[in-house]
Amino acid sequence: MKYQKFGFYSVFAGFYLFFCAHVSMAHANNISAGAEIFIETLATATQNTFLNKNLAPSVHKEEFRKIMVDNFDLKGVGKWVIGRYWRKSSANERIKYLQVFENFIVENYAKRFKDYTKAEFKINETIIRYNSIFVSSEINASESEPVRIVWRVNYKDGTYKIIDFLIEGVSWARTQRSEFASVIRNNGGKLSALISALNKKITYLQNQK
Amino acid sequence: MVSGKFYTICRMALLGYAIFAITACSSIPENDPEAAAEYRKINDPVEKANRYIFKFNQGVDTVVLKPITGIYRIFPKIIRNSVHNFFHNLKTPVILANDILQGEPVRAGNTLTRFVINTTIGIGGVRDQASSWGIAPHSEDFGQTLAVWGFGEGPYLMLPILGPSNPRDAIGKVVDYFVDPITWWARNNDEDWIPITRTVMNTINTRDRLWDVIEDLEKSSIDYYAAVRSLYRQQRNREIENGQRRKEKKNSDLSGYFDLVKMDDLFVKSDVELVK
Repeated sequence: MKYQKFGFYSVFAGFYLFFCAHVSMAHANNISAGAEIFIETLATATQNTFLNKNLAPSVHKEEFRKIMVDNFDLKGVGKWVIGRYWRKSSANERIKYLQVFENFIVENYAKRFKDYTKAEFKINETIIRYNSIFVSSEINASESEPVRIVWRVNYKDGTYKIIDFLIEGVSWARTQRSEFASVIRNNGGKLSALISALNKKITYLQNQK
Repeated sequence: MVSGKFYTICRMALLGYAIFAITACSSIPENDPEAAAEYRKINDPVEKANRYIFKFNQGVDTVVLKPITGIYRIFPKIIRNSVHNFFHNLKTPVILANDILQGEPVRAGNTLTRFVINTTIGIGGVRDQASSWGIAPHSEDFGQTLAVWGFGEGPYLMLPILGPSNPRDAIGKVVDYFVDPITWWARNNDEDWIPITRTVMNTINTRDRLWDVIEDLEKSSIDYYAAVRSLYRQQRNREIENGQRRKEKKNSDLSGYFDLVKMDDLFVKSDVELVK
């Protein structure tokens, strides 16, 4: 009698698990498909901005900033890259830092797209791991070898945000994290040191051709 | 006689390096557990010494390597690619040995097939015919083999001239050098110029291929040393995993489903992992 009951429960539990897995698998598929569309749209927007050579460099930069702010989880990444130093910093410093962090990224990357020419962008595969969606893409410009970029995307409250990208397996966020932590650590653990280092770099990048 | 003197100099240099590194060693900040954890994670106890050597290497690069590579870059890409292919083909014995030592029969087969195709149809290795037929090149070294065997990397080391490394990879380099039949053959036949020329050409070729990456990194990083350290580790880990994801331990065939069941919860608090 006891065993029969046990059998019933395990069959029931099995069905239940199967059902859950099935529902969430469909959900996961929707989420990955959405992520692919998200990345595709982002790539097109960026391409269109930089292929329009009639725009002034400053306009390019501001358009790029908009794209970054809309599609990257800048606050999340900004927090993560300074790790434990975030908790130790004051509210005022945090606001200052996040603004400088955004400027630093815009200054750093808007430049790379400056001489952008038409390239083919395609998505190879999308997988879900470690609570995130990884969208693998490939950029084929005519002259150079294809560049493989994997976008790490988070899905929250119906929106997608990029939290990292990996170029040939090297993570952008992880590299920034080790650099930023190093600057803070070598300057007595002060976030202000990082802020001034970033500001210095921004000025340097602005003075470059 | 000459080589005896050479080894003495090497030994002295190594000893000097060890003393320098040890005296520049920093201590673990045990009173602050978070700082201690960070210190262990960075795993760079001789950072001060490493930074000096890094500066020295940058100097050597500016004065010698970069100008020479700059001249080399006058050659069209097609010729530089041929040089790269030729020297990569010469590495075959070392790559093959490490493929086998890592228990990778498919990759070993690829290495061998590539060698046969490229040495014959690829005219002594200058053309990478195998790649266009779908057999992509890969690299292996004894540092990676040691990693596959379960050896940890040990603390980060910046080696003079040779650049970023760690004890495991440094040992790997030495082993690869001595295992290489070309080194053997040259030693037995007193043709010392061959390994030297090869090393020089390999260095210039590597610098050439990293030209844009280095320029970009120098410009954009706020701590170039830390950026290189992070890149080196990430790149090595990727090479060790051979571009594959690490094999995850699975308890049962259902484990995949369980992951998916859990996923819904995780999406709600999406940046759990990122922002702690």
